[in-house]
Amino acid sequence: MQEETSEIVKTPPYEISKIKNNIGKFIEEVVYRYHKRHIKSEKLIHGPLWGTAVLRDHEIAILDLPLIQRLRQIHQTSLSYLTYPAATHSRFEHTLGVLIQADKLINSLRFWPENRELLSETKLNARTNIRLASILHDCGHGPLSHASEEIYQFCDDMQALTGNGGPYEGNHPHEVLAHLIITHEKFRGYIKEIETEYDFVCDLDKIADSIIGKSKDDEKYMTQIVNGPFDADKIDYIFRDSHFSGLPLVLDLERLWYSITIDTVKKKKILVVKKNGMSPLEQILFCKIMLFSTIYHHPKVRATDCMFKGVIEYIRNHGLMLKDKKLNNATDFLWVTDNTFFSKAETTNDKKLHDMIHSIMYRRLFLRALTISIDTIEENTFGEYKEFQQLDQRKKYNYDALRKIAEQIWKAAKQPCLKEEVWVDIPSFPSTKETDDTFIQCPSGYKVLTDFFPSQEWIKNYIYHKWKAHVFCPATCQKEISKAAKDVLQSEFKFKFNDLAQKSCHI
Amino acid sequence: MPPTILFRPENIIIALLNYFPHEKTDFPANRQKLHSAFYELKKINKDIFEEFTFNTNRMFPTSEELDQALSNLEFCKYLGKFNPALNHYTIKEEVKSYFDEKLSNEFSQHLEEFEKLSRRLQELLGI
Repeated sequence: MQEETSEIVKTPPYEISKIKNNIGKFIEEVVYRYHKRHIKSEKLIHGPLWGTAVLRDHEIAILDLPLIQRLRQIHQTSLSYLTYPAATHSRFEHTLGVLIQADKLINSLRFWPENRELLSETKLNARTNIRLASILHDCGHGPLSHASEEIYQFCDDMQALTGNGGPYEGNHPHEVLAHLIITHEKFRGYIKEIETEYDFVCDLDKIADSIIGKSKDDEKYMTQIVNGPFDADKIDYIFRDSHFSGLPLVLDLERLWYSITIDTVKKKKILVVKKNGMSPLEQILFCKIMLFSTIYHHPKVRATDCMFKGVIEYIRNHGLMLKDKKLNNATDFLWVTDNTFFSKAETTNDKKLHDMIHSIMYRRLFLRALTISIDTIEENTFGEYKEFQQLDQRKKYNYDALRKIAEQIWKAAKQPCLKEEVWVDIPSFPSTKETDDTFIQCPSGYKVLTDFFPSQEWIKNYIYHKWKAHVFCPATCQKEISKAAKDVLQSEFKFKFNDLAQKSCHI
Repeated sequence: MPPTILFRPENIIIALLNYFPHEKTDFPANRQKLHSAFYELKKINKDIFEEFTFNTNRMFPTSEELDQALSNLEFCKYLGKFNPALNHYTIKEEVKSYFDEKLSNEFSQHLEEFEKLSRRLQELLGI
């Protein structure tokens, strides 16, 4: 490919102070431009998944902030509800679920006498900090959760933070935004106010760090309750996503929670699992892979995410704005929720933009034009497949390369739709990396979960038998795009498709 | 040395494996060993490993790019796991042929550096 030897276009270093300034403006809007009311007592909240939870007065005060309330307007699993109609659950519901599960894990850990001092409220404000970390852990999400993250991860400001040598190298973009919000001086100022008002104490640095998985070695177990190999976040999303999609999965949670304790391994005080808790751990991994196969990588779910990305690209290409933002910075996405995204259809004068958003709202979804997988490529040409497959790495140059290929396809098909409506989609492989971070108590010492079963081989089987990349386009030009996609990809990457590449798309 | 797309993770791994001695066809698939080794290599040459980012908040430094690149190379049949315990990668002939055909020219100015880094990788992996 042409791109193979071209230099990466290096952008000038983005000023971190500018990002903090943008975060400050957002906090003014979602924390300070809000009529504060005094919460007089604890409140009970009921949910369909975990039952009833008690929230303390200061927690209600934080939950009431538009910073958290906006999560009601952000779907947890992006547009998957267009495929699984009941999957309309929001980031807000998930936030409460994480709070409940984190609290249950603390209770289970405190059941064992040796852990009580480590989770003592008076010593470390452990429960307060962990509960607040649960409430705040997703406050950095943008519209349609991970669908927008797939775009803003490549914005210059986010690259400066998470890229090579950045202060948040290797962290997830939405967690980085949450960290920046929580540690911002303006947010600290607000928390100081309510600490006095409600007579509680918390440590915002520890809360923010736990969201990105960072902590001192002797307090790592606290971070792992919110961000660890089997954390409250993962437990809630696995249960919630499967329950609301109508694909219930089995997980013996009670057994897992009571199998976990705290111990020092490799000089770090961490959560470890007693050997009798291995079955539920296996169940977690199995459920996670099932979620990828049935929901996250479902072709229609991927197609709708591409439609969303197409709208954002159209807005950027045509100098339009959403909520007065050009969407060129990661921080711009904080201002947008699913509601503001969809309402643009009614307020814009641009008919094409209106139609693109309406197509999502009223389910005139993209179709598959070509399937790219191990069983749609002729075996004797599979050796050439690497050049295509490596474009799945989450790098801006790969994203740009895939957009260029999509444009070539669009041109080869004689431009039958908008160029923002043709997508080459390569989903990332699922990961079970948590098995190397999960330590099992054995009579001979500690072993990691990977020592007991090779979860990577599950992934390999998934990749060989279920994983697929696709070319997506509007239904009106499926045939033209399909033919062009086949020609362009074969000519670019030197592999040959078999008949199944198109037949599997019902062409 | 300007970072180019040529320095994508899959190509870097292929270049390093190319310099493994002929008799060393296997290397451990243990994630902790592999990720820690690449983390050390990045300390030696930041430019070559620029595309590998590491999260240091976990029990050991981890790189999503390394995970994904190894999966890609296995999927595309450059690496395999033929041992019963599935705890070792086997370097297939395709690695050397891909390096000779596609990378050796492009990497011509860095061959010595790759050879040195490959030796260090072998030490770090204990092979």
